[in-house]
Formats: sequence, C-alpha cells, structure tokens
Amino acid sequence: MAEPVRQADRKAGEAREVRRISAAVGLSALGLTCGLSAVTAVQAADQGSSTATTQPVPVAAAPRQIEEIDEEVVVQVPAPRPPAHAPAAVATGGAAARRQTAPVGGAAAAQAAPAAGTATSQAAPAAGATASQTVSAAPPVAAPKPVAVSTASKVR
Amino acid sequence: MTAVEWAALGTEAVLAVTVSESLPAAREAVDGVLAEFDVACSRFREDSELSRVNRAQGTWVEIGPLFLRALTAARWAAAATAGAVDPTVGRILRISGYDRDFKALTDGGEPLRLRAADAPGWRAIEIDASASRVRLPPGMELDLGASAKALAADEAAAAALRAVGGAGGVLVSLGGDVAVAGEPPAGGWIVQVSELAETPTHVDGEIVAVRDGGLATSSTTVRRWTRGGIEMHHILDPATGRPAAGLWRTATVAAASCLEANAAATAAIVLGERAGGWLRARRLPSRLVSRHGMVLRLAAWPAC
Repeated sequence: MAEPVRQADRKAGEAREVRRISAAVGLSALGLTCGLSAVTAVQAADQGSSTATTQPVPVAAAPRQIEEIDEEVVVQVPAPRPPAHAPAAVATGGAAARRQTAPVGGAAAAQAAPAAGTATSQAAPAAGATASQTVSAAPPVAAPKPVAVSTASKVR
Repeated sequence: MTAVEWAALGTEAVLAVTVSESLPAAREAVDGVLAEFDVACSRFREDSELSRVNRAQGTWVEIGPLFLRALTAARWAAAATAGAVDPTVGRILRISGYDRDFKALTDGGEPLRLRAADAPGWRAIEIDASASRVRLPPGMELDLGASAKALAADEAAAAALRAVGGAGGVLVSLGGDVAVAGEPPAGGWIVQVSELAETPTHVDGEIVAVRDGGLATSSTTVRRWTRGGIEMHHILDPATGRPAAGLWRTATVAAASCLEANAAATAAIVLGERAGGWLRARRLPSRLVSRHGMVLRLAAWPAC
C-alpha cells in the first residue's frame, strides 16, 4: 500500500508544479483542476491503481493557493555613450610633413581633422587650403605636438 | 593654446586651455577638484572617505556629496559593464600587494595563498542617497580607482571651464584619462595614444584629434608588480579575482565623457574576446592592442 501513497504524493507534487506554470501563463484554476484530474485518472487507470487520492477535488472546496512568482526586475542602465564626434585621424611624421601646406601659428590647429566619423590615415588640409596647395612642395614641418597622451595609469 | 603639467593623485595631470590668459583661473579650479577627490576617494589615505567606508564594513557611514557621486559613478560603471568593472575588488587588490601609492610599491612578498570565496559584488553596496550614507557588507572593500580618476577629469574640465566663464576650451588629463570641455581648438585637441606612459609625445605614436567627451586607455602593460614571483597588474577580473588575462593588453576608447570611456576601456580588457562585439554594439570608437601587438580599430576609430 505504500506505493499508491508515494504515487499520490508525486501527483500532488506535479499538481503544484502545473499550478505554478498556470500562474505564469494565466490559465484558470478551474480549467487546470479539471485537466489535471483527467490526466491523473488516465494515468491511474494505466497503472492499475485506484485510490481515493486520484479523485478530482471540487473547485469550490479547493483551498486558495497563492502562487509566488519570482519576477526578474530589469533595470535599464544607460550604456556608455559614444562621443558626439569620433576622434579624427592626424597624420604624423613624414606623412604629416608631406601633406602639410603651411603651418598655422605653429599650433596643432594646422592639422585640420577630417569630418567626424571618418576613418582615414591622412590628415585633411588646413581650412581654406586648396588641392594645389596640398600637393605643392611645401617644406617639411613637424607633426603636431600632442597636448596630452592617453595612456594607462601614468605613474608619477 | 597653453598647457601645464604637474603631479597629482599619484599620477600626472595636464591642463590645456585655448585662451592662454585663462590658465591661472582654470588651474586653480582643477587643483580644487583634484584635492577634493584625493580626500574623498584615495585608497592610500587613512583619512579619506573611502578608507573610512572600507573600515566600517557592516555599518552605515555618512558620506559627502563628492564621494556619493564617485560611488554612484562606480556603481553605474559596474552595471553598464555587467560587472566587468567592479569597485568591490578593493580587498583583493590590497591583499595582492597593491596597498599603497604605486610609486611606493616594491616587488616581492610571500606567494599569495588565497581561498576562493563568493564575492558579494557591486550589487551588495547599499547606497542611501537621500540620507547621504553607504553601507558595505562585511568583508567588502572598495577601490574606486577605475572610475574616480576619470570622473575627476570630467569634473575638473567642467570646473575649469566654469572658472573661465565658459570662454574657449579646456582639456584635462589625469594619468592618461582625458576629458575636454568647451570649444575645442580648430581641428580638435591633439592627443597621442600610447601603451607605455613613458613614451615621449611626438614619437611615432598614434595621434588623434578629439573634439568632445573623453578618451581613456586601460592597459595591463603598466602598474605591474610581482608577488611571490608572480607578476600582477592592477586590472582584475571581478569574476575570478585575478589579473585579467584576456586577448587585449591595451584598450583606448572615446566616449561622451571620460568616465564612460574609462569604464568601456577597462571592461574591454576584462571582457577579452567579447570586447570587440561589446564596443561595436555601443558604437564606441575604440583602439585595441592584442597581447601580440595586433591593433584593431573599431566603431569609427580612425585608421592610421
């Protein structure tokens, strides 16, 4: 007689599991109970078992069960945002010297940046410079001196 | 344009302004911000708010507005990087030997014998913003180094610009974390990207022009030390508590602020092979250098 009891316990456990699922998908308790009873009856008949524990429970008498559903609260965290203007290429050394048309105040400003978001290894000519100026044999000048260095945790 | 360099926060500070006459006022403003950050966020000062919070595990500690901002920023960085950048690695950093200003750090020490344990992580930090207080669970120590310096650069640049009445543009670099504010020079701020801090400027470095936001570089090639004969570095993988050993040794990222750039750059080191997709998805212009020296440029980072 121990086997039917364990089986009944197992069925009850299954019922609890199904109720959890039903709570999640919004099935009605009535439909669930009827459906579960039918399933239980079929299974009991297949296994030659006939115990009172497989009898359907009237819905009206069924205790109300409050299901506890874990809800994952998704908090939207702003992701790191890109800059309004992507860094622009600035040619260095010989390339800069070859393309440099004329120093503008000796400052880094002489190296006009290309339009934002472009990926080029060549610095654009300074504002106002013409194509002919760009290819002219201007004397080599130094590449722009960086005002800062982006490096990792400079120690001093 | 005028620039000045000096030592601050255990690193090198650079301030540049487009209006030369505004340099003294800008410098004064930057000095003020850096002093406040040092008092609030230094892990190496016994009297800092951070040290006080770290000592008071398990109890609520009142904090000032700047520390609250720094802590909020650190928690944001952790959330935005899914925990790749986690301020709760302070204890393992201390145990690993990084327990003083880096320039005072000496190699050596006994081999570490650490026992793995569940780390509570950044979600366990309790912040009561309305009452300006924080509580850490027992055993947790914070290190705000990954984000506080970048936040300091952002706030210093903004303060400097305010101090000069918004005239012109300002660049502040703290140990290589760069923040700019105001109107940049024609063509942008010229910034060299280098793996090694000792690399002289103007020497075969990759140079880019920055117009707004921030630029930050994280690397495992610097701030290294040995413990028990094992080489350590300062970027820890919060998932393992050990130095990050992923695909990339250096990551430089441009973002809307230095804080965001720093978080993304540090996350890239920790994320390793996943970093490329993570950065692309966020359209963050980035330059990654692999352990073997291969350079990968992503998301509108200019080709050289």
